[in-house]
Amino acid sequence: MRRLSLLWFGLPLVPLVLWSVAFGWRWPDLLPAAWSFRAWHYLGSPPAGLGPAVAESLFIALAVTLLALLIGVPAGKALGTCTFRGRRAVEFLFYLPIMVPGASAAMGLQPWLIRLGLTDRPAGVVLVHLIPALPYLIRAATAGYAALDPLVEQQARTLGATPAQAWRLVVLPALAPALAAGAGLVFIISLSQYLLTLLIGGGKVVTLPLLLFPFISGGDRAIGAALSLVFTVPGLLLFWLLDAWLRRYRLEVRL
Amino acid sequence: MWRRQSSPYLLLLPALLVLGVLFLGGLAVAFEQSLGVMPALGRLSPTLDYVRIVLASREFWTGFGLTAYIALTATVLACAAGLLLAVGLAAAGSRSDTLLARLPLVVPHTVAAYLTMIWLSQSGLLARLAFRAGLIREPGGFPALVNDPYGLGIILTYVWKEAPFAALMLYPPLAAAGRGLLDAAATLGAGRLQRWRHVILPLVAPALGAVALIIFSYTFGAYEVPFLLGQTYPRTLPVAAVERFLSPDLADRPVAMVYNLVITLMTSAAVWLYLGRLAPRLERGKGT
Amino acid sequence: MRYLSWLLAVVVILSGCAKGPAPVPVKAAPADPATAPWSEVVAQARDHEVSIYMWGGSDSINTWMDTYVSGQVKAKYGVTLKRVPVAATADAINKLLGEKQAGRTTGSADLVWINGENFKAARQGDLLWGPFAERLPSFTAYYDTKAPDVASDFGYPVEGYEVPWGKAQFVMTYDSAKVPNPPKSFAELAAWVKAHPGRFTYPAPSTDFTGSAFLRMALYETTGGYQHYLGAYDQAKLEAKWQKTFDYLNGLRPYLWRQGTTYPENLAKLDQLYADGEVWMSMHYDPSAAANLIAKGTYPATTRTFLFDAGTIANTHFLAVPFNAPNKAGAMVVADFLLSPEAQLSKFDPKNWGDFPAFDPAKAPAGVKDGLTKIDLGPAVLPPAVLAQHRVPEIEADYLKHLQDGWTRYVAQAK
Repeated sequence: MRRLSLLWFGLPLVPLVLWSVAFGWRWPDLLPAAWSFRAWHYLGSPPAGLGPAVAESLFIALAVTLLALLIGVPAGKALGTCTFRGRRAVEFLFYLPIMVPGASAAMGLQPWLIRLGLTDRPAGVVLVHLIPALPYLIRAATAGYAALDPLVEQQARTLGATPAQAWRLVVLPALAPALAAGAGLVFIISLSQYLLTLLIGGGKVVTLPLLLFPFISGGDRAIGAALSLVFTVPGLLLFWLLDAWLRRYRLEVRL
Repeated sequence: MWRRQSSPYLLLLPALLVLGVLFLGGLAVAFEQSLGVMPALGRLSPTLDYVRIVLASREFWTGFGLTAYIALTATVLACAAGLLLAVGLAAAGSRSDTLLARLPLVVPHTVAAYLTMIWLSQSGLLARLAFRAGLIREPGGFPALVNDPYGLGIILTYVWKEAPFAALMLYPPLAAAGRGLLDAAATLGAGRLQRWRHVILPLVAPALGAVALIIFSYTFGAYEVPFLLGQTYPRTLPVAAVERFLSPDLADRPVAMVYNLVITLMTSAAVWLYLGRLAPRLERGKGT
Repeated sequence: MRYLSWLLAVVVILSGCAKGPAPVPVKAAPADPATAPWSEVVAQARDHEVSIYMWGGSDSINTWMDTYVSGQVKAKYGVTLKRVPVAATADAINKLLGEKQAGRTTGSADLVWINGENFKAARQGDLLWGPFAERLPSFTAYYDTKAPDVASDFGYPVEGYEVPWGKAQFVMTYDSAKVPNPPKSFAELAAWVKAHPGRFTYPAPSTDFTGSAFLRMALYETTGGYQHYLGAYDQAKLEAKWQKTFDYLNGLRPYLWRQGTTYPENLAKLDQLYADGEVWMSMHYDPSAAANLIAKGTYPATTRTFLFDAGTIANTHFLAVPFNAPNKAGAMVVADFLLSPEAQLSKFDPKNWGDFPAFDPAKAPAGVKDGLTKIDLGPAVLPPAVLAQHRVPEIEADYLKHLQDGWTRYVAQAK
């Protein structure tokens, strides 16, 4: 199992490392003819715009995650614990953006956002990123709340906790794994958006995917490979960290 | 356990506002434009002309066929691969295996397409290995797997990316049931095929349906991978829609919106199928 | 309820924090840059930001813009230059179109790199500001303002709404190690392609500028010359003649890369095929592109360029100012610098870009004239004299679009 996973999932990424330091790698060579750090050198230089693109990507992803949490947790609470009229309709609306591509909505929104002055700026991009991302958080929050045992919170209250304390010490820890998973997903979704950022950001809001795409659709392979690595490796680290944190958390709660 | 709450509608309000305005609002404008209504240009009367033009064009129907074919094939293969992966993980997997298996989730689709190009183009790594092995003599001898008429590169990229996603969704029901169930079935004399038919498949069926619908919708409406790995003609619907939308010729705008409408309808049908048919079954399944 | 107020507060704070476009406090212009004296324009431009929207697909061009050009305009005029990369100029035009429709009078682009059909579309949509060309000192001093490739752009009158930034000429690139005798005409090219199946292709003209140029030149040669298409656009004439061109291209199809069932959607893709060794020829509007790509290790060192005896298309590319540019004075100042002989010389150096200068060499100052002869273009670039002798002009922009559509219908979609 281990070897298969490594082969199928890990191996494909190896040529990226080679390409990023290749100087001339033509058919039918299995290894580059010469080596050069030109691509990495360029990425480290200001004209490449890597630093600002990373900052922009992170800023937008963080804003989207924060907003998604603020908007999605209450919605998850409603869906996870209450029964009410119109529930099916609400679920349908919340589920739509997961399956229906947000690009169509973004194309429709564009003229309005231009009028409101929200195009070409991160604020507009944050808004459109919410379209595909928010539903995932709502789902996670709903699942989290649905799995809550209301009796535990009640017990905390009878033992003298204030509503705020009960929420902080009982409800939140129980919700945390679900919310963390949902927030992680939202973060990654925002980070990897290309089309939405392009349509609303107008090319002026440059995130990592925008920087990357032109190199992939043709052009400098070395730079494209290096950028791909820059993109993927931090995401990997984030996932690994999140995983480790989630595991620890689950252990604590059980104790 | 339902609790009494200060109106759930208040809790739902922000989400309803955001998605209602941004998502439904955007789609409404797109719908309006597909009818040729563009106030900024002074065109205020709706017309079905653009819809007619699109539905009558060979380009549209070939694109539709291609998009549906790619989405269906990718879904079937990704779900199958994901299921096998999930079973493998549930049966014998370790921590690091699950991490490795989740790698593609972190790799953006653009990079995944790049990987496909690097490995599978006619002058790509696999082709060069084939050359070394004496199987082919020039790049043209290697099968066309990217920018090819059967969308093979596109499908493969999707399978690589979505199989772990499917596995992630199919793993919980399998893990929850535990090895115990499978072992019990084996002790009771069930053969491999029977274990699959009577234990594994029923366990994952609802989740499988959901995953299949999600993957189908995603691949149907996706832009990046078909743009990078597809052919000049025919183009998938989302790629054609974006091309028209970005065209300086304004007459292309309503055409783009008609394409968008078709994409929206197809994927909405998937949502309806999921919520209307599968979700209730998922609920019932929980009782078991 | 408390939740809601928290939510609102955070949203308000966040939206306030969200970075908007960098503040460009251009005061309600006391003097219109289009008519004010040059010193006024320079004064207005000082200490402000100028955004230039241009194709971002070349790291060497990007670096030259961000280091040399930015540094110079900062030092000379106190202007901060911001380069905004676009995938294609048509995207920038599309953006302006959307902004015009939405009534956005202050946009985000001050300068756009543009020519040909994009210029025509922009003028027809009234998307450009001007005329301003004659107000730039560099333009009037060093440029042949009446020359046909300066006064008209693909047959459309410039009328001062754009200024020439550089000159391009279509060249074919090839690997001299694999192609000892490059073809000299389209007829010879066809023979070569048939003898080497799968080793040649061209970018899809429907999506790529260079592919479109290749198609145009095929039209010139197969229909008896470009002279037929000079002057106003005549659709009937084009349609009467283009069958020969499509027959030629369809005849090539089975011998092309992938048997002509698909074409690289842009030049970068074709270059990648060439770099990988899948095809043995490529093509460029930029006569120095080969030198540049060899220096990066992308192209094999044996790459050379060739022309057709009948000549290849030469054209000019320009800079224009959008109607809603927030900093028109700044745009003029940057444009003036880019047109200056010093900047043009720096641009010509293949280490920076290699783009041919647009000024009139006869009018250039002595130091620059000298510098022109000293630039080492390398073995992969044809000398300017040779290029000059094999030049044919561009034709009306309308021909391009219709020809591209014809190609899509009769070649790409043909069974």
